[in-house]
Formats: sequence, C-alpha cells, structure tokens
Amino acid sequence: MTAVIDYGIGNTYSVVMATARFGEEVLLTNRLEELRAADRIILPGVGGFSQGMDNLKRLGLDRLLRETVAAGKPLLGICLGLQMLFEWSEEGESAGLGILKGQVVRFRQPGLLVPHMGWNQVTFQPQAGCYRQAVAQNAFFYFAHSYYVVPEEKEIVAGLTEYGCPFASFIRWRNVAGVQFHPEKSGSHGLAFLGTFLQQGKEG
Amino acid sequence: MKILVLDDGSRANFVQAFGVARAVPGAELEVLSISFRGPTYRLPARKGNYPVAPKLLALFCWFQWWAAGRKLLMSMLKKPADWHTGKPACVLSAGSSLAPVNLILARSLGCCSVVIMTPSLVPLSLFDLAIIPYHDWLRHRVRRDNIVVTLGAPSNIDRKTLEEEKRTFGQQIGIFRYSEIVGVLLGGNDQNYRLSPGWLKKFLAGLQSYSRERRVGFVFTTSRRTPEDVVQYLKQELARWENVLYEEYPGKGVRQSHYPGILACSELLLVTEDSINMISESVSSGRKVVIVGVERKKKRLIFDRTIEQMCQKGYAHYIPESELERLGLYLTESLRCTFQTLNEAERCAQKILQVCQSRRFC
Repeated sequence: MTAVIDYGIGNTYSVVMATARFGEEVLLTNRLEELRAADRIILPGVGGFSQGMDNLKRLGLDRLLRETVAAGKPLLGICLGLQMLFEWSEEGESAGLGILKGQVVRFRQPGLLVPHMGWNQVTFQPQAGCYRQAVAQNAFFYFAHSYYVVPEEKEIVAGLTEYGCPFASFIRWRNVAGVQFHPEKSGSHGLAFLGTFLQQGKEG
Repeated sequence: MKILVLDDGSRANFVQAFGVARAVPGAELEVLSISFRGPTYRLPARKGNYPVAPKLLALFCWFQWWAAGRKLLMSMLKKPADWHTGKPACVLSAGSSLAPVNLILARSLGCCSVVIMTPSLVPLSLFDLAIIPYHDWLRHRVRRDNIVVTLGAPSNIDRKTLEEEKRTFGQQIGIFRYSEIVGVLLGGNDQNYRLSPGWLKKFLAGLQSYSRERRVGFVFTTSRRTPEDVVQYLKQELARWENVLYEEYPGKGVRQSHYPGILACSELLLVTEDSINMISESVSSGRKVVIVGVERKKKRLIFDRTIEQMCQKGYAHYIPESELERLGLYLTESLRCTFQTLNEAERCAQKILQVCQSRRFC
C-alpha cells in the first residue's frame, strides 16, 4: 500500500489519481499508524516552505518521516516535499527536516523568469539507477517552483535540469527519492517515473 | 436569504459578484444597477473613464456617516436605486468603485456588507466580509478574520450551464465531427502584457503542429483587449484552417457571446496568461487548462504567484512564451494528465452564509 501524506497544503488529488492508475492501493492520510503500515510514502507539496514544515511538525509527521527513512522504507518527496527533506530554506528562512544535507535557494539569475513554470528536460545521472532505464534520457517533465535544492553531497544528484543554471531536479539517496518536477502532472514520462517508484519496496 | 448584487456595468466585476451570490444555497438574488452622475477621470494605461463619486462616498465611509452618505449616494445616481425584494441579508459587490456604495447601503439597511477585491478607498475592517483574490492580497498581505483569500477570481461558471451549452452550442457548431475540441481564449494588452502578431504567429504554428496528427477542432475567442492588428492577423490565418468550428471577436457590433459554449465544448482550453478572469473561468469549468505565456512588459509580475499556485495545485499547466515552438509536444503530454477543478465561488458562498447567520441577518 502507498500512503500519500495529507498535511493540508499538498497537491494530493493529482498524486493520488496518478498513483491509483497503476492499480496500486493508495491511502491519503496523516494518521501516524496508517503511515507506519504503508509500504512506501509519498510526500507531495505545494506552497510555502515554513507553512509546510509547521504543518508537518504539528501533525508529528517530521519524526515519522525521519523514522521512515531510518527504517529503509521508500519515500518520494515531490516539489516542496523534496525541498523539506533538506536542512534549510531561503524561503521564510526556515529549517527543514534535515534528512538530506544542503539548502534550498531561490533562482536569482538576472533576466530569468521566476517562478520556473512549464515543461523542462531532466538529464538523468548514473545515480538515477532503475529510473534511468524506465524513463527516456532528457525526457520532459512539468515544473512549477521558485526555489531549488542545492545538496551538499553531489553524488546524490540523480537528475539535472537547466534553468538559468543546472540545478538538481531529482535526488536519490538510499531509500529516499525526491523530485523538483511533478511526475503526477508530467504525462507519460511522469507516469513511468511514478511507476518505477511504486516498484520500490516490492523487489526482494 | 435575499442578496442584493450591485452592478456598475463592468462585466468582469459583475460575473464575480453574481457567481458568488448564485452559489449561496437558497439565495434569492436581486441585481441593482449603479451608475453615477458627475465628473469622471482617466487612468494611464487603462481604458474608460472612472466616476469621481465613489471617492466622495468613501470619505463618508471613513467617518462612518451612513445616513448622510446614503443621501449623497442617492443624489449621485443616474437612476434611483430601487429594489423590490424587501430588506436583504447581504449586499454584495465586486470592484473598488462599488465598495463605498456597498458599505453605505448595507449599513443604512442594517445588513451584511460583502465586497470582492480589495477596496482601495475604504478600510477593509468596515466590511463584514472581504473576498480577495490571492494576487490582490499579495499587495497588502493583510490577515484579518473578515478576509477570505481566493485563488484567482470567483467565477460564474456552473456545471449545469456548461452541460446545457455543450448540448445546444456543440450541436450548432458540429463538435461531433472531431475527436477532440480545443478552445483558445486570447486576452490582450495591458500594463503588464502584450499580444503581437509575432507572438500569434508562433502560437498558431504550435497549434498546427499539435493538430497535424489528430482530428482536432478549434474554437477561438478574442477579448475586448485584443489589439486590432492581432485580431486581423488571426482572422486572416484562420480563414485558411479547415478545422475551426467557431470564432468570436467581442467588441462593437457583436450581439451574442458564446463564451460559456466555448468553455463547455472544449476538452482542452488554452488561455493566455494576461487575464486572471479568463484563467479563473477556465479552471472552474472542469476542462484541462493550459495557460499560455505572452510577451511581457515586466519580467516579474504578481500574477505569476497565482499562476504558480494554480499549476502546483493541479488546476492548470503553464507554457512560457519562450517555449511556444514546443507547444504541440507539451499539449500532447498535458492531455494525459489529470486536472483539478477550482470552485472558489462555492467556498466564498459558504463563508457568506456563515457570516450572515452569525450576524443573524438570515
């Protein structure tokens, strides 16, 4: 069973609909016991970093997410869900979950249109592993964000996208995957990506 | 529950107020037309003349001289303000110029005052409820109990009307001949955005590449703000297309609009980013919506935040102007996605009901 975390500000409808397309049992919840029982967890995200973190803390989900990672359960962060996995964000100058080392910064390149909205290519890196086989190299995915993650350890970058500068659009570290794009809104490539994530935790 | 909806003749404002009022369960609506006498003024980069009267009335609101304000209001109207349904529970209006009128009427009648959009002349604290679009709210970022922030503008689009329009208008234009209908809603120039024949050329080339391998039928509408050279170029180009089912060019001499029909018949709506109202109506229609970037006079705009929110929340996709050559590819991918339908009118209506009930006006 896949649990999609409902913490009040996520784009949960599209994520649940896209996940359900695979015939997967999907549960939209913020109840700790249900999340603990899930085989894999998706942390979607829309809106402000500090509000997202406040909501996670209020519901006790910050500790649960750290437990999830420590237990080796597959976790996918989408957009703000990816950003909150990091230590700190410029947006609201707030601390994140600190599961991944690094920061979240705003696009500042002169003349660049911010937010970065629309379709853009993701160049998969060797770290992408099975995702690289499932999704075409340089496939187009859908983006809508003003901030991007800057990981401290470059080896966790599994996908790069160019927007004013190359930025990490796909992060993979142990059982944690995080994407700056929205696979649930990225048509066929997005579905292929989600399908690959849903296979995590099934192997072996 | 009776609601008095004020109409100052601005369609964009009225549809928002009427849409919200109509969504209030069990509401009995009466529309009151307000037009002012006296001097007017003009604003740079805006069309039309604005009456001075609301500014005077706003002064009376500041000092809370309700009875005197009402006398002044009545003397400033072109036609007497008569309503026939007895005392309303609420006066509802959209737009800055109607805000003082709304407040004066509501206070002198002893009912709720609900305003849509930030009233520039009157303090927000005086209203029982202020419904403020997110992009408007970002300018002031005021947090108060009497403020509801909406994503985009509340719209007058409802499912029943759309179904009816699809049946009647759809049959009239022959949508059944095509496997897919794409609606194109073109806005126009303002202080932030610009539409040019050059932009339109790129956009139409993208649409043609999208329709090459599909049985796509197109329905087009421009807006009153669409520049004349763009309209002429569009007419000239579309005359060569075989799959255009309907074209609408609002403006002088156009009696009937099939705008709801265009929304109703389309599976996919392409709407230019310059009009938050058209975008809001599109994302409220239950169709797949792609917001298309146009030329900009400024790099960063407050509306970008609203569009970003709409895209993140799954109501729409966005294609920047710089990416128009890939329009065909992107539209194919967008069609495969699930979109959400926005219903801000209903959320606002529930809030109005709560406020009126808490004040015991209904």
